[in-house]
Amino acid sequence: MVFSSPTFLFAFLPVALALYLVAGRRLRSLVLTLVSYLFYGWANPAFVLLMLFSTAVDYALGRAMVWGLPRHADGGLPALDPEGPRTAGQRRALWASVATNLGLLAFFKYFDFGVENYRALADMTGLPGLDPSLVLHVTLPLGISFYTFQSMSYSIDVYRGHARPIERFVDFAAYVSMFPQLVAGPIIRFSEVARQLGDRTHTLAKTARGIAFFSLGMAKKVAIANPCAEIADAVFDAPTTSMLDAWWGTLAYAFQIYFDFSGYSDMAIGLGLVLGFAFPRNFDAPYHSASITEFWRRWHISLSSWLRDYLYIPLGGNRKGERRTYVNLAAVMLFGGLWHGASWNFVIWGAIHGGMLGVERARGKASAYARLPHAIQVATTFALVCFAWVFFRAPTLTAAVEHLQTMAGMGPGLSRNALVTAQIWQPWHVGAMAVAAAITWGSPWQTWDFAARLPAPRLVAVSAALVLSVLLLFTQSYNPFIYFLF
Amino acid sequence: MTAPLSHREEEAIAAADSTEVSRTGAIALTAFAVGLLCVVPLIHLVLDGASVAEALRGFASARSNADLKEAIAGFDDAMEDGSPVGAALRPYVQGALTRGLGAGNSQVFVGPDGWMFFRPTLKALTGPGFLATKDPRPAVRHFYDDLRRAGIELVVVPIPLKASVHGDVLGAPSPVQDRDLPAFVQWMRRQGIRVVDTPALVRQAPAPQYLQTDTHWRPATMDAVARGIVHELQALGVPTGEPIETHLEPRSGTGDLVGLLGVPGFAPPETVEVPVPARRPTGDAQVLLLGDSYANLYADPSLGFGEGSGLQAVLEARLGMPVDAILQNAGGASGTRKALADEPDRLDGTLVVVWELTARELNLGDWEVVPLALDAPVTATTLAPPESPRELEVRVTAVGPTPSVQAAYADQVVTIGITVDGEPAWANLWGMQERVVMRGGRLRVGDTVRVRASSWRDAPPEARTASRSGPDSQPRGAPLWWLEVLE
Repeated sequence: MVFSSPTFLFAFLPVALALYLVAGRRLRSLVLTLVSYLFYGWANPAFVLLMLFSTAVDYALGRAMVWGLPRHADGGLPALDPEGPRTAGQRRALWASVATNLGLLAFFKYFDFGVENYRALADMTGLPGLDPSLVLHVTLPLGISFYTFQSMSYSIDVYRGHARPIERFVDFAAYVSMFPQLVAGPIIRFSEVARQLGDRTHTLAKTARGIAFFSLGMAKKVAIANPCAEIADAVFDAPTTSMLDAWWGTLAYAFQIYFDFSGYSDMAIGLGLVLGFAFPRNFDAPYHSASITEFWRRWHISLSSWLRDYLYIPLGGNRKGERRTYVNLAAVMLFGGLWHGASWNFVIWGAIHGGMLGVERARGKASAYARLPHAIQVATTFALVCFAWVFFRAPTLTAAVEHLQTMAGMGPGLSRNALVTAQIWQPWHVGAMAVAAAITWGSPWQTWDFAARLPAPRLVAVSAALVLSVLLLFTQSYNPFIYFLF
Repeated sequence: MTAPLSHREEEAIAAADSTEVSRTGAIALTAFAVGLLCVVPLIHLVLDGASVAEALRGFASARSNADLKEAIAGFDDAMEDGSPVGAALRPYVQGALTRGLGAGNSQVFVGPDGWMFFRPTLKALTGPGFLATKDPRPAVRHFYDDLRRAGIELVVVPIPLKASVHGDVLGAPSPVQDRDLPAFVQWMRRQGIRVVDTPALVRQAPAPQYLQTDTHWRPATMDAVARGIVHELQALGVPTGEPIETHLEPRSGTGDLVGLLGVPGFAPPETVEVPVPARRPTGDAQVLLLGDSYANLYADPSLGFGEGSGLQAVLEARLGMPVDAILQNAGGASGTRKALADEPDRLDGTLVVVWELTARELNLGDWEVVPLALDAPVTATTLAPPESPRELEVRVTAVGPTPSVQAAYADQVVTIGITVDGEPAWANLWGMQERVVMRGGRLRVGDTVRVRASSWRDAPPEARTASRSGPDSQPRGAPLWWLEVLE
């Protein structure tokens, strides 16, 4: 189910919120779980069973890690000592959780990709080929990349002693399935909401802040990301375009993915607040970054910090020497790229970012680049991010290379290019791009800051954003969020 | 309950708890948002609760994951397309966005000087080409082979896309060639299939060749293509008669693209002069025309430009001989071939099948291989329709997708599987008329309905030429019923 759809706004949300509010304190997690399963099953009811399986496995393994240990003084399950040794059983439970989650992810997301690449390799090297019937056309369950990471973070947090295992299955099921951020993030780690799962408050101020987040997020998606998407789609779906259109399309995609994904995150945070949860921020003005390192502190923070804490640091981070640090950086960014999808384009996107992070690390803070005016650093970083977005968006590797050639002025000039031009320079598109640029670089507020204070004028602005979004929604056809694909 | 708060959780909770908003402001915003989210569905329930109940019924009768997915799609459609608030607001919002900012919608691109284009065709023209995406060649080859085995020639008439002919309106320096059309035409000719050079005929017709606010051709362009077909038929040795005179009649209509935009009155009606034959030729037809909405325009009043003309009538006039026709809006790719497979006796005495189809179908159509089974006629295992209309009760056993009010054509016939006194049969009935989904379009498996039943051959002409959809399980060659729902 898409947040920006009539079914969600005018059927699911009013009913889900009413049930949630009517339910007593003890039943709220159950209601939240049930409506979240309905939300998730809307895309494909069968996949509800998959999520239930993943949830049950991690819940059982979390309990298994503290099996036989005395209960905490408050009567709840104990936490493992963060510094203490782990038993073989605890280690096995952790690996079982990691293997189950990564196994599900690998099968549903990467099986066909693996088969396809092995075949290509076998053709090139003469290795034994695979049975031609070995094509499963696996359907990717919605949000599997997000909820497997969330679920896995629980087992790891419990194993590390950063969190106590959860007592009630329904609380854990509510955590894994929580509909606001289930299918497109932000990735909420167990340790980030553990306390709120059992004890959360509902206040008017929190609700108002939540509505502000939700309304602004929806306006970002419907009024800005969607028109930008029309430009990006027209340009990237066309094998040839003019040079100017190629640049325009790339810029449009940069805005689309930012407003689409940060809009979704805002809506998720807003819904979370209405349900009593305070989710951490996921974006912090990423296109203000003066370096790629800074970009990754501001973009999809929940993923970058997840990768840092659950992959980069366990690999040794920067504590095992200079060379190992670069290897770790590259490994994390390649994995991060592949996490987005089973395609070499994503791997290359990750490699570009990993490479740039490495260059920045090697260059240090005393480099000539660091002495450039801040605005030039921001512009340079944005250009590099856009360059990498081309690989992220283009349908194939060849298409990405051709697109970059066109941006460099080496594309073919064909009469059909004019048809692309005609479609993407309408006032509607130019206006959306101008608003996107103005908000990105000209606005003093991010949603996070804007919603911190809600005097009357901002309340009016928020209400107007909600009305505008609903009006626009009635004129737009189905428009899923980009991160639904991941 | 757990270990200490993480830094990020702490920051989030602190930010949420320190939100500065007055109690009145928070209540007002909450009341406004909740009111907005509740008033839209409440109006929907009050004004059209039946359609919501109908959509929910799909869940009750679901027996499998596929049924559930279908019920979900039906509910989404009911919420999106059936919302009275949406329907009331859409023309104003869409009108303002299009007039003020040139936005158009997902179906319609509004160009300069009042020219409108079907947006998917622009994408088709600028996209990777249909041979890479749809590849109609296996279906065409199969069809050709089936006809050849019966000693029948095939003449294909591909109609170029409006945007390829009028690309200059959008700033293209020269006509925009449909990427794969020349290669496809060459391939057909190599197979032995005759192909009318319609791009050349259309280019030579008086400009503008297409209607400004409609996806289709103007009458003079249709006439030029009809003459080209006659030329091809003469080359094949098809007997011709004395051409029948036509006179021009003015017709005014609002283009289908205005309807798809959803903004009534967005553009004024267009007036064209349509060639209307003085009479119809008599005798047995030796030519069967398969055609889509291009052939139906000026003959099917639901397309907005009246009746009495159209490609079949003009072709007959220029040929001086009768032409049989199976016409179906949006049926260029597979629809007309399926209809022919359902009524193979239409080929009795036929020398040539003329297959008109728009290049849009090449790019967007569903290119199924449809065996005609002419040398081994299908033995009907389903119940034949009654010879004269009668009222009875039928139980629904198979349905296709619910018609979409955003479909290219406002009218749609749906095919369903039924049982009559326990005997299986297949039937057509109205699924949508004038973009209103009818009872027939909302039927679910297991429903029992009272109907007036007759033979599909006796269905009204506007139904026989309407676009059609149905379940994949429909067998070809099964005798078709025509149903009118009585409740």
